[in-house]
Amino acid sequence: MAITRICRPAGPLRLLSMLLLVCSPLVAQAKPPGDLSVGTCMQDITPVTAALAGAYEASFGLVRAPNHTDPIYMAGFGNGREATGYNDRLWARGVVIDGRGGRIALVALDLVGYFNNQIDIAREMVGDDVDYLIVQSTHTHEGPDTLGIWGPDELTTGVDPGYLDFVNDAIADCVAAATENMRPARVRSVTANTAGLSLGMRPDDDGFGVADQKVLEGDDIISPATNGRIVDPNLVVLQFTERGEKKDVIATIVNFGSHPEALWSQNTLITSDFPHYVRERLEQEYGGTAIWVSGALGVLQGPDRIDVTEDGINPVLPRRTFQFAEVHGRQLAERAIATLGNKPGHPAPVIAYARQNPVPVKLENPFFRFFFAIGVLGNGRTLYTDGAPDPSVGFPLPAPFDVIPQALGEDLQTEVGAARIGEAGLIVVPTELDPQIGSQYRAAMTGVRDKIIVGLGNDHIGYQLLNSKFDDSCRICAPFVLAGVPQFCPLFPDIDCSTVFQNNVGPGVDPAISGALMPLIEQINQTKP
Amino acid sequence: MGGTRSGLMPLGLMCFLVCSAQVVLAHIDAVRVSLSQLFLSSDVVVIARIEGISDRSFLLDNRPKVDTVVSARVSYQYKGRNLSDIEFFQDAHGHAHYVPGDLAVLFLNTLGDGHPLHGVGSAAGVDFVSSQASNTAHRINPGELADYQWVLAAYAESANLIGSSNEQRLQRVKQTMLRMLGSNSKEITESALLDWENMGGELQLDQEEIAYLLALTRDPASPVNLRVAILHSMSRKQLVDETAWIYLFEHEVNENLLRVIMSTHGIENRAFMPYIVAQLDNSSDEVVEGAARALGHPAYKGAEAALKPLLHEENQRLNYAAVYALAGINSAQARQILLDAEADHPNPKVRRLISARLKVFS
Repeated sequence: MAITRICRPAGPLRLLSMLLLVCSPLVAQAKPPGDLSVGTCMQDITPVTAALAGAYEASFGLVRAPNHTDPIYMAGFGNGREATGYNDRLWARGVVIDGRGGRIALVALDLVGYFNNQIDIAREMVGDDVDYLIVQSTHTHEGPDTLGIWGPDELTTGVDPGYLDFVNDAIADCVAAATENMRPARVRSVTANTAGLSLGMRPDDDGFGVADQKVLEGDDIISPATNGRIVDPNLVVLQFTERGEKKDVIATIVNFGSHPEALWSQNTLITSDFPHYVRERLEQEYGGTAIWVSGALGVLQGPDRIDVTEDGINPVLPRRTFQFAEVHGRQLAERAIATLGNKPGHPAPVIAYARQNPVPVKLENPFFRFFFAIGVLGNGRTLYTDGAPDPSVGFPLPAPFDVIPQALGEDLQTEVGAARIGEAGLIVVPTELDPQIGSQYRAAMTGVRDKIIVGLGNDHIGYQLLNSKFDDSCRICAPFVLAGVPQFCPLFPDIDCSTVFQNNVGPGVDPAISGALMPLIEQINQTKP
Repeated sequence: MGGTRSGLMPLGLMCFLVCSAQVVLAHIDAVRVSLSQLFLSSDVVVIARIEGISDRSFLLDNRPKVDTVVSARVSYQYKGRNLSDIEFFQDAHGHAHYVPGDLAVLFLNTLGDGHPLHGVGSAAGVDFVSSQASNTAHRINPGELADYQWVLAAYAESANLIGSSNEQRLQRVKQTMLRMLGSNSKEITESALLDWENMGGELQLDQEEIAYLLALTRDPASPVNLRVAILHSMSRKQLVDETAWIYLFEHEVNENLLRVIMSTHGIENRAFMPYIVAQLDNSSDEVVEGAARALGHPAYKGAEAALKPLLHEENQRLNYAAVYALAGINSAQARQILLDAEADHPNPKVRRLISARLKVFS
């Protein structure tokens, strides 16, 4: 079977492509049919400080040298949440997949997010052994700050840059280890529905094991039966087994759209949250390496407003506890196990991928520009103007706000991608994707059966929602909101500065991301399994 | 130096002093919201004792539902109709975590017609919602009550103030903010910092007031991150020069010194270089690492030789910090040091990182 290397810039060409908006589809390069080979890896990326080294040893029976400065500021909720101990370890869990069409590596990090300037470094460390490296963040809200906005106060970063170096090492080491242990494999995939995985007792819970915590204007028209609440009920499983006599499971990837934040804002124990228990149950069932990949997370898909129970009847478990996270995680895993079955997988699936890097996205958020300017956001990431790095800072706001510094570059640069592994397609977005857009991507991906949305893939640039649903009131009224006088804004009282719109790059996100992604999906559609 | 700008009075402060307190909520639940913003956007402001947090069952569209309701006993009220006991929903991503017995400032909004939770509120018999998140929980710790009472009373009084001149109002706002910046409450200080940032450059400070703020930045009893944040705000408003930072370089030690060094990101200044380079010999590896990373900017050309030995320290984090710094300085000398180490460094991970950083930077 012919093809399918859609995009494989390597060495100098790779570098050139990154600099020049490239990675456009290159060639359909013939390659002899080859068998599937798969390797897997796990690297412990738990942040350990000098103060918490004893707690780490007590929790896991392992001595670990500190890899993080004191304290560890935990990401996801407010400022100043310092870690006090551990429940479970954080991981970089990866798989390297080699077959007809190329070699893809997917590494999932138990982190809130990871900027693409760090992934660029990790990619260079990995080198040319991999055609397409996808680094995904689960978006756990119970791990260290790796982005910057959860430091000791609102104006101080919470990132330890030395820890980012450590994570980059872990990514590269993980890929190297997985490459080393590649073996002949088969792949199979299924899509389960999560109906019934929560009790539907709360007003926001429709019973899919995840609640939509933010209903947008117009959602009630799209989804009247649930008063506008929209979730993604697809739980996609991708499993690799050995092709030899033993048929042992090598890796099981589970994909679902829900914030790992069951422990909520008061927890101070480092944890990967409910995905830990998903993986634990899957590895108990199958062996091998279980990998959680978060899906369409956006517009606040999460487990906080659902209820679960051990036996389906009672008692309802206390929310925001490890007991809740464990039962919820196990139930997600059981759903995956029940759906996967025992059908043998495909021994020689096509591997295809396409990526667009960079994708410029206009930054239209003065809040973000401020935090870039003062170094709270970024960790070395710069904005771009006309395709060139632009680290300049100035004071462009009108008086009296003309002493508030703003990063002046026009764009953020990010990337998107799509891939195919046999009957499974992967859509790689750098955002917390609105499930409504996710369903459009799924619909567009006509050439595959099982559709994995890799949320926060290769970057984290915030929420992505349809331009038509973007409420621009917060951006327009930003000076008034900042000044504490929203009522002076002409749009008052219809101003929505909820986190979805305040922590948002701008209305141009979806046109830029979808505009770059849809052609890649079409390329993937044209490949054959 | 000096706060002598002229122009419009800060819009927020103007309004805060002259506007009616009857501000309808624009549902603002972002985490970087100051006390004054919360006050203005709320229907009811109280200091209250949390009495219970429990699930309440009710019928919604003839279907049994349950939702969590917080109940509290009002101790002091600053805005809205008089209440003694209140019940409210919490509706925010990572909403405030209360436990019974907590004393907290509650900023509540009425679940009126048109509010997304109006139907649920009616069905559950709950009239209010709080959008306070972790950063805006304002739980009151022992010793902080008096400051909160003072600030909220000032807001309430200002919101109803009529007839004063702009100058009088501005003085009032300034005194409120200055007192907040000096508060023992971390949350009140942070709130004042947000207000100060948000209002831009129109708040004029005299030399005595600048000296007061400068003294705050040098008070070892105050958390260093807040002192540095105040100093950053003063720098942005050109109220201080580099000597204010140099004072901290000379007087802070250990963790505090590390925080000061790290905070120079974005304000790199050659005047800082000798102080930061000196810390490359600090006995604490954390301080050395922080100093090295702070030097990773073209402004610090000339520090290459001081950084080079770190490449060969036993601690790999120091090796990595040196790589970061030299790549950031990006001088010919820095590049040559990195190229040499890329060729012969005994640690393959260091060689790998150097290669990656050089490629990315190029």
